[in-house]
Amino acid sequence: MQRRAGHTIMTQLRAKAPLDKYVLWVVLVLSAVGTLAVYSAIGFLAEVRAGGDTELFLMRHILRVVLALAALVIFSMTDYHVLARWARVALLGSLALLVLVRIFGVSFGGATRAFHLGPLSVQPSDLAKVALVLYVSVLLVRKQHYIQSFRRAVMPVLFWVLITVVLIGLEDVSTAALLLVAVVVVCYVGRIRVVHLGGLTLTCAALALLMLVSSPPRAARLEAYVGKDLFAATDSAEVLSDQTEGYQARQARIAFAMGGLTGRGPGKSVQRDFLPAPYNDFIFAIIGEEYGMLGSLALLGLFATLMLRGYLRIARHAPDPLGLFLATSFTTIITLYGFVHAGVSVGLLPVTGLPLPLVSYGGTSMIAAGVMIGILLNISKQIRR
Amino acid sequence: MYVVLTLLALMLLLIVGQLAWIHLVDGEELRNAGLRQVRSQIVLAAERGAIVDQAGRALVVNTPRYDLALDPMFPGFEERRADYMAQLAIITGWRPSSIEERVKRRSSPQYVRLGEITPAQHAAVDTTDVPGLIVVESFTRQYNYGTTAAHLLGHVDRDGVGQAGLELEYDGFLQGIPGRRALLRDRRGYRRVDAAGIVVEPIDGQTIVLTIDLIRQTILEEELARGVQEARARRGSAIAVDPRTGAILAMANIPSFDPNNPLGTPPHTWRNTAITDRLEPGSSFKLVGATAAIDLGRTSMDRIIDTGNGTLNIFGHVMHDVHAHGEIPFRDVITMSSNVGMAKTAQRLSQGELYSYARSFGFGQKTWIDLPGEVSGLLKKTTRWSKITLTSMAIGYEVDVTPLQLLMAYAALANGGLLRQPYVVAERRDMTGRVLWRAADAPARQDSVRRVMDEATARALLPAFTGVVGRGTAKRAQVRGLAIAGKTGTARKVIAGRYGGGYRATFVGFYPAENPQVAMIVVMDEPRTSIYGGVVSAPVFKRVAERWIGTLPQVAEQLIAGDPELDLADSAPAAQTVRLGASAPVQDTQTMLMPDLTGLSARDARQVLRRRGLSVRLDGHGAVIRQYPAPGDSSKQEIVLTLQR
Repeated sequence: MQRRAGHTIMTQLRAKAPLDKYVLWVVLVLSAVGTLAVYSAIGFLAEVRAGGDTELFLMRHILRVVLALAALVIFSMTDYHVLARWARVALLGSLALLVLVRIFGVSFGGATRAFHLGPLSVQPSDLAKVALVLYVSVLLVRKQHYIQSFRRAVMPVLFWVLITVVLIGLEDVSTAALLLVAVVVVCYVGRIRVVHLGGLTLTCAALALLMLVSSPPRAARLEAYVGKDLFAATDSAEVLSDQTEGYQARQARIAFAMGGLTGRGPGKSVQRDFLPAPYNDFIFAIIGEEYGMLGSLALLGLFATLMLRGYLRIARHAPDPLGLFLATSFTTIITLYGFVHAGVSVGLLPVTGLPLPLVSYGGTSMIAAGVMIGILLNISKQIRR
Repeated sequence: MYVVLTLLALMLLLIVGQLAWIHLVDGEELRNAGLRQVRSQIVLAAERGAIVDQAGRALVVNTPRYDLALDPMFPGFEERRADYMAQLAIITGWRPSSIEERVKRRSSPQYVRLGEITPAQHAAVDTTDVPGLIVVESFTRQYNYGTTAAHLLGHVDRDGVGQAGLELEYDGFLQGIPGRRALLRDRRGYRRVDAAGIVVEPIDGQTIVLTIDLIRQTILEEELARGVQEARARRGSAIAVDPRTGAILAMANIPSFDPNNPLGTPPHTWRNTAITDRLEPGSSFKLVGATAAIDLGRTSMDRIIDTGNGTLNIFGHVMHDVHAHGEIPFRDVITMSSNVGMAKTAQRLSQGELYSYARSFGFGQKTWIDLPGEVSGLLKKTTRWSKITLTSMAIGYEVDVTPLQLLMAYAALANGGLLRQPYVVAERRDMTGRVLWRAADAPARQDSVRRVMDEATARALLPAFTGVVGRGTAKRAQVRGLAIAGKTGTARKVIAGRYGGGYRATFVGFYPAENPQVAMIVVMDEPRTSIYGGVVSAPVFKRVAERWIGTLPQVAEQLIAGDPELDLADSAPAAQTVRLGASAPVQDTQTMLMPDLTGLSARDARQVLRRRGLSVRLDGHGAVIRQYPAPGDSSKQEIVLTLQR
């Protein structure tokens, strides 16, 4: 009853609070820069897959950007409280998809992650990401009164988180890890006891180590990053050679170095021929090469703006706990993706295939980012003065 | 929430720090590595220069060669591999299985050389739709006249790098400077055209114009071969030089080899023995002692010398003449080649005097002819002379010389006492025929042109040497109406430091005696019919001199002036009936004139030329705008058409 009343007040206030223009601009600039960079970087893929028809891939990317912006508009106009009611269904649906993709999915770059629907490939993990965060926020709100209780509050949250994270993590450890960090953050904000969170984190760390040991290529990537032979099962000579992960990290660093202060100029990247999946995993390196140190700093600035607005403006002034939790977790996910992607490109983190949100060429992740920002904007519109 | 914010901000800081580190600390190294891995270039081959004789006849040219290569990784090849393999087999005539075998055994993933193809097959390759085919165009060296002048020309290796002779000596000029085109390379090694890349056009090699003449060279080789055969000698060498300039007129050795296929004959046939072999000159070396004695005024040509019964005991070593001559004037000591008379005259000289004259004639040092492998012979310093060295050397022992050194010494006598530096390259020209360098204008080595004796000495000595041919040991060198001066030489060969059974027989001389145009030496190694230069070498000299008259107008004029009744019909036709080298396609190419091909399409032009049995190199696409050789000129082995759309 109370919530319903609050809801009507919000609806009345909606007209007065404008949506957050900073975040909107960040999104628009990122999509524009992304389109330019992807156009430059996609040539190699286009040559292999479509006989050099780069424009075809550009059109696909623009289609995705348009879809993402459409999603952004739709979700920014949909009250997030309404979404909250569908959170459980959405999570169950995407978990089902995650199971299905393991059976019918398309193998892509060694991992089975996607369905093909016409020109779009759908990655259920991107959907599950949004759904899980949504549902966890709802749970946290519902269990605030007894949040300190492990059995009554923590167990249900833990249940859904573990199922989703493990299902995603089977194929894509880095996405699962990032999602887990976001969940831990929102749980922390949601006042779950630190002891419980620590336990959760340790459990997952143990799981992650298990996965690492069970999969030699994965371990190899880590070794390449560390530069040492850590695991007996891997062949580190091969790992550290020029053609593998260490090679990719080095090529990305070369891209930044070649870019200098102001870059080679739009479309003049050379390193795109040497980096694997430059349009996705290494788009930040391409931007660093074409637009230089200044370009990469500006891009990081955009993500920093998103982070500051997300946390300090939207989450902090959110009208209710649900808004706070949602804003916190979506801001965390997008910012974390951005920083981890950048960290990989500059060689600070081991090589993972994470896209740069709103910039990289990749269907569902782009749309998922649109959805998340849309919800964020909707929250910003409901801010109490 | 602030904890999270702080952690994320920290991460951002780390990223920015790492960026700065990449730029400021690792930047240089990373940039260099980046540049290294993308840079690539194609070498644009320069065409090796031709070698032509003094009349412009092409002795060495390049013929285009096409090699077919394949990139089996080229997109689209794998899909219809069997089909393409069958097409390749039809075009080339190779068995599909052997092509497959080559592809399978390739060492590079993206390149395999399949083999050489003909120009016709090249045209077929151009029209086929098999992807990944690469035609590598290069040149092979063709020696138009086979063994003719082989030792002068030398040969090249598989890569077209000079290995011997002029090909080696002038390699730097013949090679030209290859051009290059800068390309970009991606991580799979595929090359992409770099629009902004530098293109450096190749500079083709220079054409080398020789002092020798094909006709004269051919005559010399024919007569030397005949002489070697008649004397049943092991080998023979002959050189002719213009004594006034040092220009080599011809140079030959028997046995010879075919530079088109040097490996077809054993390595000893490759040696240009005229400059690489040392011999004891024997009597022909008496020139040195005689010059010293006359030049220093120790004797005169008319001074009577007692040669006694033809023996002379010098510190226990007994010296013999072939015949006893008794009391004869000094001129006859030379004419009759008296060892005793020469030794007695030499005793009037000091060791240093004989040594310095020998040195001055060029013995013991290179002549600096522009050919590789020349040796300097051996002229012992006086400190290492024994008591008998003075007299031994005066008659041509205890000294090692090359045939060329000996020839140049007599050329100095012919030239009024002035020694010249011998050379075989008269000019270097660029591809368009512009003269870049001319031997006549170039300063010779300072130390290789010098006065060996007074002109008066040369004049005084001359009658003694004309006497050698007129009434002395070399009567067989006589040519009717032509005054020839010369000297025979016969010496036992030194093998491993001891005199063996073999002899070397030499005749060296020049003509016309009063106004010498030609100096020539003929050396026979281990002749078996006779050991005397006057018997085995002089006839070769005579026959060459006779047959050369038609090619030397100035000699012919003097001949007519000196003997009006002489009928030139005997000698002149001989020059014209020279058979030019066994493999010579000379009739075809020398007599055929180039048609005007301007405006024709590549296909038509190629057809016109193919009908005449000529192959052609095409530059560019479209219609012919320029041709080499020009219309009306005699066609060459190498025809270049420049095309433009």
